[in-house]
Amino acid sequence: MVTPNETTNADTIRQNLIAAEPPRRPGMVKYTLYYFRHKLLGTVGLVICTIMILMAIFADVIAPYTYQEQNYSAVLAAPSTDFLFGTDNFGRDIFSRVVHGARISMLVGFLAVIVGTGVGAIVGLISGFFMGKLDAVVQRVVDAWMSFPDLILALTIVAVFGNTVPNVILAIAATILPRGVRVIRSSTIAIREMDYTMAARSIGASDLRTMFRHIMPNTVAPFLIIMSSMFGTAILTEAGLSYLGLGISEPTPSWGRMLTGQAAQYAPSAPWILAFPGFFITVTVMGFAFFGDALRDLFDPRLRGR
Amino acid sequence: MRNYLIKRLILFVPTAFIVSIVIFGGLHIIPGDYATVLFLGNVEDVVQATPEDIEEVREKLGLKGSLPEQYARWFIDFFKGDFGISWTNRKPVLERMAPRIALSVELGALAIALACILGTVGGVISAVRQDTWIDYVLRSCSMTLQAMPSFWLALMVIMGLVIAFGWKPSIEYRHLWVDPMRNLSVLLLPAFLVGLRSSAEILRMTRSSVLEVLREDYVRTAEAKGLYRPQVLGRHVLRNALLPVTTLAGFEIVFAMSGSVIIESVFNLHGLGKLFIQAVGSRDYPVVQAIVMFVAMVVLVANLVVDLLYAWLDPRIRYT
Repeated sequence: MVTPNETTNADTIRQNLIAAEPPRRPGMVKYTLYYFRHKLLGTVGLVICTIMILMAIFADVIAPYTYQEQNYSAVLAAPSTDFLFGTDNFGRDIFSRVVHGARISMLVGFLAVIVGTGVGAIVGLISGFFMGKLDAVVQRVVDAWMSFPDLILALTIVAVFGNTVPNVILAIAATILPRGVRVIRSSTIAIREMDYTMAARSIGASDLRTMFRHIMPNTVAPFLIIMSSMFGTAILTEAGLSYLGLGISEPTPSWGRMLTGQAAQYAPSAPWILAFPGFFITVTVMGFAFFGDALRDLFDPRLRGR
Repeated sequence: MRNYLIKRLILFVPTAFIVSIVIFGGLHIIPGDYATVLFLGNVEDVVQATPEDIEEVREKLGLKGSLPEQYARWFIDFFKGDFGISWTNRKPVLERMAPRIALSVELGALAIALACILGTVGGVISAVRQDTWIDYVLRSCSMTLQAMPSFWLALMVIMGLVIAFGWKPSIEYRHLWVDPMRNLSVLLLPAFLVGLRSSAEILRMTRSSVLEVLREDYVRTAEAKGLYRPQVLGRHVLRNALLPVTTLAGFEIVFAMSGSVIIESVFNLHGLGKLFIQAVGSRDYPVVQAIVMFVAMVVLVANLVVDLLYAWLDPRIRYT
């Protein structure tokens, strides 16, 4: 039974709370500086990612030559002001090709990650939400799936369906999918035990509503984390496929393909042929990894410093 | 332990079945008649071929009967060691795989062994000397290695060796039992390059796990009662800290497989990976199928062994 006295108390507390000044949020500049100082690697990662994405979008503007333009007067030319990263054995400007290569890497990486983690997340959500037999079956399938090494799985899919851009994207997405299922499933299982999920169910929310309205929004953090950390893996797999000659086919320049075939033969006399494309792969993958780690720290303080 | 063993084995069997069904089903999306055309040589032959001829070829290719029937036959044959017939040279797949298995297995095992040694030693040093220059160096190295495509690193290393010493990677492979020195001189560098990426991962894990254990009460007790630092590390820290690393090492086998496919191509080693790439390039599906199945089974068995090993090493696992 509620006495009048108690109600007043609660009211006063509420009044006080409303009247109290909200805690001051640090200003934009201050916050950015704080972020820069304390999440140095994350910031570096963000900068790298932004540069690569901009490079991919504005490749035509940035690149001084087209990626197919052959300069026979400057075959295997060393890096100079004319050819920033030198030229390859056809006299093609490596800088322009690297810039254009960013396009394929970003496109494939981005779409493969979206498809892979997206489908994985939905499967994981359903599997974790319903548990029981369905979950057991899904988990065995995921186990089976993960027993295929990434590159072998991707190569097999490309072998069956052919190496067009959509197939390469799907093949890489397939390597990411089971990890998405694992991550989202485990957080779904944690969230479905939360009081607010129970509350939602007890007022009669349907399974679908609970799943998509109450659980899904709370898996956004792990979803973003797995997305950013898988991006690097996707780029590496794409580079591997292209290197083996089963990725995106010529003439579209891709970082992996620039390292294949004759590149290795000319490398001892023209190291820039090998150095720059590989360097860009490494830096991009690192950038996304740093950014992903920073995101994880931001969302999940428990994992800080791991 | 017995209960755990049974539980773990029960998980293994359906997974292995699903793997085989996925591989069988996946590669049967390709219509069987394509295979018939390929096997008879060219399209004209098929047009002239009598239904009996085609039936005979289909039987040879294991394409007779309903899908479940074909699957059962393929599955049983696989465990009998009959992997079917290669479409490119019409020889048994096993004949093409057999001479290459030794090389790939050795490469993988060497890579994992190197990765474990480098990773754990590096990880322990990095943790014990936390926040010193050596910790920073090791951690930056491991971060860089994880981002680097292994084939690029391999190409750069070869290029460096060629520029510096005029060195050419020796391609003539000798069997381990025939000429051990020669064998190792060919395989050591590729194995090292395959293992580097895994070693980076293992280093990271070892470091965080050692750091965690170092903060435990029993480590403080061990130090308080006056044990030497190496004794504390060996007896109290490493025993506990390296347990989770065992699981990771098992997981790294999968990465080593991906790595060796590509490194075999870089070094032109005639292992399973190289055969796989050839088979994929020429759409020789029986070979692809057999290699994928073989690899998946190796991974599954390796994971099983690692899990059992882990349970044997850590009593906490068996009883939960």
